[in-house]
Amino acid sequence: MLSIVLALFALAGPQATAGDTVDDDISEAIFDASLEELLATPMEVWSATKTKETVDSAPSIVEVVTAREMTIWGHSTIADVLQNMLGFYIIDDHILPNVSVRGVSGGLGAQSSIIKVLINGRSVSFKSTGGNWLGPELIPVSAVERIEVIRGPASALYGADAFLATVNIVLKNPEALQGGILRARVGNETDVLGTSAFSDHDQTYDVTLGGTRKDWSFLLSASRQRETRDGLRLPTSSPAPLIPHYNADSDVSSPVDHRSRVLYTELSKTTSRGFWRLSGYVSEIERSGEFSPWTQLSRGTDDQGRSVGTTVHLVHTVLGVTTQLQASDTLTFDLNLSFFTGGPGNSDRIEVASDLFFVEREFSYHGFGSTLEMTWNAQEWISIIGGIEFLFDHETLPVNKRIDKTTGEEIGRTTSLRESIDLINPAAYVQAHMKIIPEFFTLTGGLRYDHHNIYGSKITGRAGSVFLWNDYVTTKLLYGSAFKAPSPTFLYAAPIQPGDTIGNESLEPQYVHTFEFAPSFRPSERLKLYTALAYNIILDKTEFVPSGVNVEAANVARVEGLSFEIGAQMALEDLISAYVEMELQRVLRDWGQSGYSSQLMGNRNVMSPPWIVRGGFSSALPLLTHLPLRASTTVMLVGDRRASAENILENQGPYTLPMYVAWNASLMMIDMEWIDNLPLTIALRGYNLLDSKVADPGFNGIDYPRLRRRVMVEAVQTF
Amino acid sequence: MTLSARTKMARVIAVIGIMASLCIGCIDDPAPMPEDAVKIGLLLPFTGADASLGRSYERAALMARDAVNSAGGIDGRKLHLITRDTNSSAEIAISALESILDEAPLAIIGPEDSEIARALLPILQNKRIPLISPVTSGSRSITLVKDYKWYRLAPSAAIMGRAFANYLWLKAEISDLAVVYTTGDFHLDFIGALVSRFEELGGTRRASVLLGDGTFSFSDAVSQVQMSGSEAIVVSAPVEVAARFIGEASISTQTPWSWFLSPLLETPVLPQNTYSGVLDGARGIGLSVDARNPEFEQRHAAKWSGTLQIGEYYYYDAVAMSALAAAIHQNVDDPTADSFSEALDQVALKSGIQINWNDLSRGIANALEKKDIAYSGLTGSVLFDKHGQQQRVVQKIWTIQDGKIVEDAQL
Repeated sequence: MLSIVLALFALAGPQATAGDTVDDDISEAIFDASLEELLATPMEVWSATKTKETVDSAPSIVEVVTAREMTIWGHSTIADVLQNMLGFYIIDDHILPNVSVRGVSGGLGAQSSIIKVLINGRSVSFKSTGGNWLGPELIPVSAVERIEVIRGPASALYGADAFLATVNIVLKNPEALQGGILRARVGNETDVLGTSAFSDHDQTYDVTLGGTRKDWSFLLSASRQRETRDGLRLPTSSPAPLIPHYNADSDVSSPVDHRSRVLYTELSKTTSRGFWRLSGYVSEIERSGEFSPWTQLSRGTDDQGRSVGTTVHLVHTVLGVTTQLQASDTLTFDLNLSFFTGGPGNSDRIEVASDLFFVEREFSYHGFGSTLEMTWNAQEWISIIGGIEFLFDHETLPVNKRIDKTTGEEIGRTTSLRESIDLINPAAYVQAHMKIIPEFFTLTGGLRYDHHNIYGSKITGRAGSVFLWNDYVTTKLLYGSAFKAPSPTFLYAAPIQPGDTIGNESLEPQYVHTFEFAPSFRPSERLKLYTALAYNIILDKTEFVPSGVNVEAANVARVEGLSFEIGAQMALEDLISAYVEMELQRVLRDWGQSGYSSQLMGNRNVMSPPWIVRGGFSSALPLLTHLPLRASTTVMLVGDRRASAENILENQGPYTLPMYVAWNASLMMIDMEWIDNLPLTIALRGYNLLDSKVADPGFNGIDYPRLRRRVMVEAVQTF
Repeated sequence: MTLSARTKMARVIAVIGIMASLCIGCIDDPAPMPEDAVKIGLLLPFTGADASLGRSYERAALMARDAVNSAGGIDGRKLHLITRDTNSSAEIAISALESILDEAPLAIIGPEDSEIARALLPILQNKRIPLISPVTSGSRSITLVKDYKWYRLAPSAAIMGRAFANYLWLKAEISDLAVVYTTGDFHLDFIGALVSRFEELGGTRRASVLLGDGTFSFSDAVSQVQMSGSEAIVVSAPVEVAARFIGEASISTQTPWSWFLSPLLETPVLPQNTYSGVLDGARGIGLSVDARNPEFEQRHAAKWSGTLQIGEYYYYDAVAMSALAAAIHQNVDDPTADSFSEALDQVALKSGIQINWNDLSRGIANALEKKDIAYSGLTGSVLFDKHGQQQRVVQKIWTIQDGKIVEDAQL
């Protein structure tokens, strides 16, 4: 046990940065630790303060999910992880997962932009929308070591967009890996009898290779996923779908692939006084837009025998350079440079229900970000982090080209109000972390100043106090503020077709103040109880709201939310692990305007469920003593979700989508050594086993069907 | 850890849970409508083909309501607008009206379309509740029962159609044209009167194309217009339909067409939703006010984002006149089913105390004393004929330049 504790405490190391290297012993320690030991030992995290803290002592509500836990519970994407975590709810619009945090949704086209997602501490957002891709396109699962999730604002450290939560994905350490992991996953949706409903299979392949040679180390990881999402029925609750006439009689999506590809690579060299690292990241999505905001169920053959349909194809790339210099025993400097670019891919085409033309989008962004950060461990009881940041983003704004369906030639275009815009954001920040009474009371305070060339200055801050009453009881009292800059899409979107979204150049950033109180209690090594009460007040909340025939980005005044989260986890050696969690969200909106629409929509929350109950149980099955057989199951009960404001208006009255139960289960053999030192994990997984045919709230007159029952077979070979 | 300590901590967590649950329910819902409120119904299209109009018109109605209420209401009673969505369709508008009637309003303001008005009038005539239509006007297919007035602030579609025909022939020197329109009383009346007058003047209609309901692509209609050989196209359709048709039509010809647009297309939403430059130079006929009112425009800009539309002037006046009439009606000794209608007549007199749009406080005070009022609103002075039709007609030609609507000339 002691070795585990020491190893976990050493995880980030004295000079740790996000995703910094962990040595063999530590990885093995996590690897070898029983579930009970993992539960009993507060895991170390980096993201909360950019210094090493345990989840108990960090001045944030932070959770860590390890790769092993992902395997046990059957999570195959970051979206899966968040969907099963307190405070989060994911709505899949069948282009990208869109996350709500503590009952607050980003709205139409938000693409999970209300959270900040980092890979090894580096942002990988798609700048034009500010969106974060949380599906298989984010990162190969085989590369993930652990995921640190902070609920609550963190702009004071991470700047704009660390709005309601921050997710840092820490990748595997090449030194610990010294080889590779190959993962394959195939499966399909099934009907009641378990036979395949569709002609093709979902397939995911990913590989991660890593190793070291002298002072050098490398990590290379790639993933490719193809998923069939045909046969999904347009929910009958959809108040105003727009289906092209050649598919007017259909209410089911056509057989098409969803493709995701991602490549991550890094090369590091350790030096006597630090390290440097080069990293590269390319991510790509290709989605059929069967439930897109422009037209629905557009895929097929039109009256003239032409193959038609919407495809959303986006690509983005991030190149990074990181270097760390240990100037003295107490002073460390980190320099991070990022170069990013992105835009639509070659296959991008939007059906606008015209017989004559479709639309090709043309937009792009490129720029760079840099951070110079100093960590000064001034005294044993105080550490100070200070940094300066600079972000430059050149956005070439959307041009929507009309392409003749017969000739394939461009026959006109719509342009945005401007051709391009430069977004420039210098910032400075400082954070002090003080152990006022060591082992009992710590205090953290941070302040950050951002100046943006479009919307001016913003100051954000955070303050946190943590009381470690004894070995069993911890309480945290936290405050944080954050802002979210309007994305170029929100500012300058031009309608692709009549009725589409319109940007709003006068948008203000959203601003959130969050107050949190979070006690946790470990009555024994086998049990942990935790709860949190959070109050959010969001000012100038930005969403697309109905504006005539269009939807326009607008600051819809004010959202207040009270969130109550409670949970318990237990583990018995490595045999049994279980959890039960519940969250209540009370979110009210003041639309800031009187009139029919706001009266109709009321002040009750939209999109997110007011309550969720989650539970999971996993147990080793000692049926065959020579096989590490394990079964796990998770259940999620989700309360009624109120339709989006736009759909309430279209429906001429509020409506809700009914509660549902999502039941998943896995039967697996974990790390079966069929060849010496080459562990193999094989799993049979079932998702939505009750085949709940439910929908989630959508936009533009439609709701989104949730995925049907799926059965997957997964194999993970480590070598 | 001792058992008592564990129990204590568990209790703390339980208490937090209970407190949180209580707090979660303690954020109040908005206050309900006061029981003694003066209620006026407002029927607007927030969804459907004319959705672009509803929110705009409502803005002005709310400004008038707020002006009344901030001046102390009507003898202390708040003016309350009961707003419902017509969904741009007669069928839905009827159920929306019935929902408003449950609240016993004094009058109904709206709807946006004369076809909808035709569907509503039998109900309203039966209940003797006045209908005040700010931008909708009479249709040849509507017959009013005796002694019932349908108050209309805007000129009829037929009048505007004829005026536009005059403009096309005499000023724009158009000798032949194609007309493209959708069903709906306004569009049929407007195009019917336009074509009739245009042909009377000696012009030629080369094509008459009806756009199908619920259609998103109009390639057949575009072909018909192309085959007509006319370069002047008159469009009368809801904004989204018109934008789709114009978007498709603009790619189908080598020669740019000249677009002429109906009054309902005088909205920034149209160029916003049409491909860049396609509509530059397009002209349309529209309602006009005596003069743009800078004070109103400033107040509007301070409260709302988006361009002020001409129809908003009319909706402001409709609500303001309703408030004045409600003040007169409040002190009627022996109210009858028609007394609110009579009160409306009493605020639109040739002679009386002149009350301007921004002087509602004085207007209500005088109305409470049952004095005759000559309301001079944002759209000018109002004078109804015996059927409730505004007698003063002011129209204008507007044009689109660089994607923006600008006023060209008054007719």
